[in-house]
Amino acid sequence: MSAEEVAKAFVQHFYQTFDSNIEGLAGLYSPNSMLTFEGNQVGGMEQIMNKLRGIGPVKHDIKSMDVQPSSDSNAIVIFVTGSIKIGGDNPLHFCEMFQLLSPGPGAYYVHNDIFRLNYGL
Amino acid sequence: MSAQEVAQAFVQHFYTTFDSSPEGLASLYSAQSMLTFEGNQLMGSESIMQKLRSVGPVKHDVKSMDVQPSSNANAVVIFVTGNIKIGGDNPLHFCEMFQLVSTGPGAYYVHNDVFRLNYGL
Repeated sequence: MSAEEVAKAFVQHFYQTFDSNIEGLAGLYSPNSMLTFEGNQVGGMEQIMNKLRGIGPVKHDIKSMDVQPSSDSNAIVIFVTGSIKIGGDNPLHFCEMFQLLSPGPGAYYVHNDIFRLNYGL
Repeated sequence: MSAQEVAQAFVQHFYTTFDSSPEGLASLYSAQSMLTFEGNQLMGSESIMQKLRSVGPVKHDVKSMDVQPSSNANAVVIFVTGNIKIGGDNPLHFCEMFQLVSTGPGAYYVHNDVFRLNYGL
């Protein structure tokens, strides 16, 4: 699969899972994973899942996805923008970046995950 | 310098230079650098500088900056959100990510750069 195909499959899976069955995200994070969510940084799958559960019900609507190969040949960088409804509130703009690392053929985990809402002018 | 300090210095330098003297950005990019600007992907310092010049006069107002170590010890991931005025128009939300790679003590270049405006709901 090309980087573009991997990224497309990942992004679709990530946000669908987040919106419908959040526990399914656990398999994407490892002990080395980092998440910075609205400025709060947590590390490792357990802390990350705690953080994500704490957000409550969400609905993501993806507007754009950009992909680039990372500095390592086994890693790619993904950049997503869109809108998010948190707990049924009005939608807000968000952007999120991921660095996916491959520990073996066809296997990927999220090494870096940074999420920010984008509101106010 | 910590990753946080490197990132802070870089972000300040990058946007101040972009806004006042964009030619000064050329040395931050190498032959391996990639820029995706609103979905257009370019590689190498020359193509990137051509793209950035064509954006015209801009004014960035940075609202947030998040930093994480990358998968390599010599690389850092930076995630910025803020507002941008392009050619004196009304400000728009933007988000941008960078991966900085170190080529030696105190020396960094931008390996990955992805920029997106974040408008419309």
